[in-house]
Amino acid sequence: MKRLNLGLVMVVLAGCEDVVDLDPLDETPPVEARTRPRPITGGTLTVTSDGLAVAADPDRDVVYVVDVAQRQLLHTIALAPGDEPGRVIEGSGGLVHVALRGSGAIATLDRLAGTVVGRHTACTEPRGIAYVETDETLHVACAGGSLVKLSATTGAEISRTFVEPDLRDVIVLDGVVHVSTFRDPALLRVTDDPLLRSGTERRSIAAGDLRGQPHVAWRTLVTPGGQAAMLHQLASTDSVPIDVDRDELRFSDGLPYGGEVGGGVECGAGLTTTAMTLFADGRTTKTLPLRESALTVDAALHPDSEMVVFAIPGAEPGEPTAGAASLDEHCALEPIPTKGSQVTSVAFDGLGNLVMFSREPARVLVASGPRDDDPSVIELGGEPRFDTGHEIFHRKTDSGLSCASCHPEGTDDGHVWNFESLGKRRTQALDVGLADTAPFHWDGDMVDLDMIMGEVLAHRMGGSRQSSERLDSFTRWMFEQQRAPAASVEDPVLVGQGRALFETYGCATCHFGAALGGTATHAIAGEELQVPTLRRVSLHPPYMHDGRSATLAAAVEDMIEETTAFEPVEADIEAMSAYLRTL
Amino acid sequence: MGSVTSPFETAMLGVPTSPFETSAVSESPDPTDPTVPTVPTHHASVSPEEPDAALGVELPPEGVAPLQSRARTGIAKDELSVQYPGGFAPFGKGESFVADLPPDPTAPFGKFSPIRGEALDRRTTRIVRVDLLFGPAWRGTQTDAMIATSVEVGPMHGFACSFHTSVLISMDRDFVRVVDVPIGVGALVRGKLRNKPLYGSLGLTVGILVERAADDTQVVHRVDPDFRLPMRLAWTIAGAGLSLSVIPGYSVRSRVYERRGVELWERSAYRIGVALGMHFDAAAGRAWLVTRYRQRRHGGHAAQGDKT
Repeated sequence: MKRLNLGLVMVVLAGCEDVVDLDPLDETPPVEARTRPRPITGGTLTVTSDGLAVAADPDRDVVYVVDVAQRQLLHTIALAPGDEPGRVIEGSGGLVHVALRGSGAIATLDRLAGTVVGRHTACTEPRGIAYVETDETLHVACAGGSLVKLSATTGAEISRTFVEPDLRDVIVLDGVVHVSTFRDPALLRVTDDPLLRSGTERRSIAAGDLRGQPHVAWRTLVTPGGQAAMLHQLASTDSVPIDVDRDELRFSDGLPYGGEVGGGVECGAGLTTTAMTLFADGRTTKTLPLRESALTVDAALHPDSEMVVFAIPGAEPGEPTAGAASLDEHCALEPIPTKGSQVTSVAFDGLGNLVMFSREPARVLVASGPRDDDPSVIELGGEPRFDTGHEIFHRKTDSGLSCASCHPEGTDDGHVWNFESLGKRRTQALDVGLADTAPFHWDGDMVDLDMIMGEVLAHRMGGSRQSSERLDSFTRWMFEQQRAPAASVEDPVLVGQGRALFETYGCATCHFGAALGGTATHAIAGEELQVPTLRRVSLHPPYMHDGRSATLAAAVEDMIEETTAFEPVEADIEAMSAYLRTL
Repeated sequence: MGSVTSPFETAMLGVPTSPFETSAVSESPDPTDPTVPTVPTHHASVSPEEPDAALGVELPPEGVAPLQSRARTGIAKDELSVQYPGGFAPFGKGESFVADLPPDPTAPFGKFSPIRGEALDRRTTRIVRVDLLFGPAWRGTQTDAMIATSVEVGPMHGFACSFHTSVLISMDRDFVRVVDVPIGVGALVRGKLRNKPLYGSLGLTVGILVERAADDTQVVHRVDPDFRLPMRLAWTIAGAGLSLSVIPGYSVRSRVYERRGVELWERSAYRIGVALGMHFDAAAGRAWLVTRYRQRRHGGHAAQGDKT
């Protein structure tokens, strides 16, 4: 019997190829937080006029109030679990207002008393918030595309206007409300009140001679001079290889997604890099890319100089997670000591003190300025929220990229990449309940996340291979990142018609199951492609694998033409689009 | 004919060691005495084809190997005055089969004696052969440097056992520095080619191949089963000689090293090496097969004291 076994082993071994992957292997034991943290969504800090730093902690559902001058924690204000507090804005009368992304509300806090004085429903995923002192109103920008105007005193809704999907920040320039968009960076000047879509004026970033297309506007600010400044990324429009040649590995970042041989953009970065664009009178005045800063999620402008400070939470462990640059310098970025903190938010007070909020460990760092080497650390307490899945998703790789570079906020950047051997491929969204959508990638060639992590994270991006335990932990974390349906406000009759037409046109033949697609591969226009899920589909333009349909209606029309024998009818398209916006 | 016991043998082996040897050493028989058999008093070795009985020798019951003892004494050729019945010579055409080298107590192999020339019987003399060979080895498209060494124990002609190890150094060291070390044991059959000091051998060994690969950040080890089929031509003069080997090998698994999904280095499971080098032989006594033959032939009596 033993002889037989040995023979079998030999037969099995014979002709076997042993492929040894020399990419570094990360075998650090995985850690999973009791409450698993959400992907980083950007800055959640403001410094009020009376010198208090108010930091929202979306991982712990609390808001901290810190006395900057005294370097002292004043209050820890608990919110409801799942509130996921985000942007904070100073109101009048000692109040601050916090956008609660998880619960779709605005919380009004008394920063001096450390209490919650009100909660007002706003919309699904309120992202940006602005306070207009003249009429004591709050303007809330929602991911779904609504701009909601609330009374700052009562919380009553004054108006609600659909602008366009994917709104991000709200700022007020010369008394006029401006809204930024996230994936496709633009500044929308809202000219009329009540707000109407027709009354918005879109100002995109003129990339000029930059190598890369602006995308993912993490933060839009008002400069001390009263102009707009936008922190955004630049994405490569070059042809992106999937593999590199052997000799190209000699380059330090000789990676498909790296800068030397891949489709890297400005300043030696990978497929994406960070840039700061300044607007003046609605026009782009300059765009300055930063050096090696792929995942930069927040920025703050020094009140008296051209200095800008950035939060770079994706830096490698041990590296500073904040940096400073002058707006006069191309490809600049000086590290700021952060003492082992993962800084996600930065702000200046009126005196030029730099305040930084760290999500893990929860702390506020206060420096006398961008060049202060020894910032004060104010520990905020609270449960640890370190999580291996979260860490892998945000940690920088050798190409300078992290997963979050192209999947900001744990979803997608809306960019259409031009892959050398595949053609155009739009980044896929991750917040749609990935567990129901395997296999992955547009071609359906990735059977699970382990395969993606090996092929994309390690091979193309230059990250470490992960041990099986870490991969399991990452998969669990990733599969939890499903956001609620878009819940767009639509005419219920129209939605009902659209649902019926969805069946009539045979859309459900391929878009079936829990995720309405995501599991089957079909030949479309001569190409075998994965049927995408329709969850949150209205929030993820452009559409189709190559991004050829800019709007949902265009995508519906395209699919009717490509996959059915019907002639597209405008009314039907409108009804089906309304239905899809509710998913 | 006087005493044939060397000082070394006397000291080391305690001559006389048997009644037979005692008489051979202590007496000086008269060659004209008809009672004295015309039997050689010493033989270098005994061929299986020519048993002692054929020479009319009665072995003592203790099974002492008188002829072998003599062989180690290294009697000069001209001291022999052997008369074979019917002109029969045990080793071919009556050529001398006595080593022409006196025993050397300082020999590196202890009781082993370096071999000089072709004086020993190749069928019955067990030798230890150590070799060191160098040459290229091909595994698929790549050429590696090979350093091989082996130890072979067995008769000069016939089956022998072999222990080998070698080092295969990859010449493609741009990204990965790979060194393979096959180690194995096996058997080989060796035979003389024509009437020259040229031997050929063919073997089969089984073992493992340990592979060490290092890049800038790490060292990786792999172990595979390994088989070799070494073929060798050995030209020996005076206990040393030149060897030319062709060594096909099979290590079961082909191997690829990748970084970032790019193939950096690969090798086939099959390899073939050509190596040239030197070998050194040392006599280690009589072949085991011969001893077994004598045991069978003499009912086990010859075994005692004859396992040299």
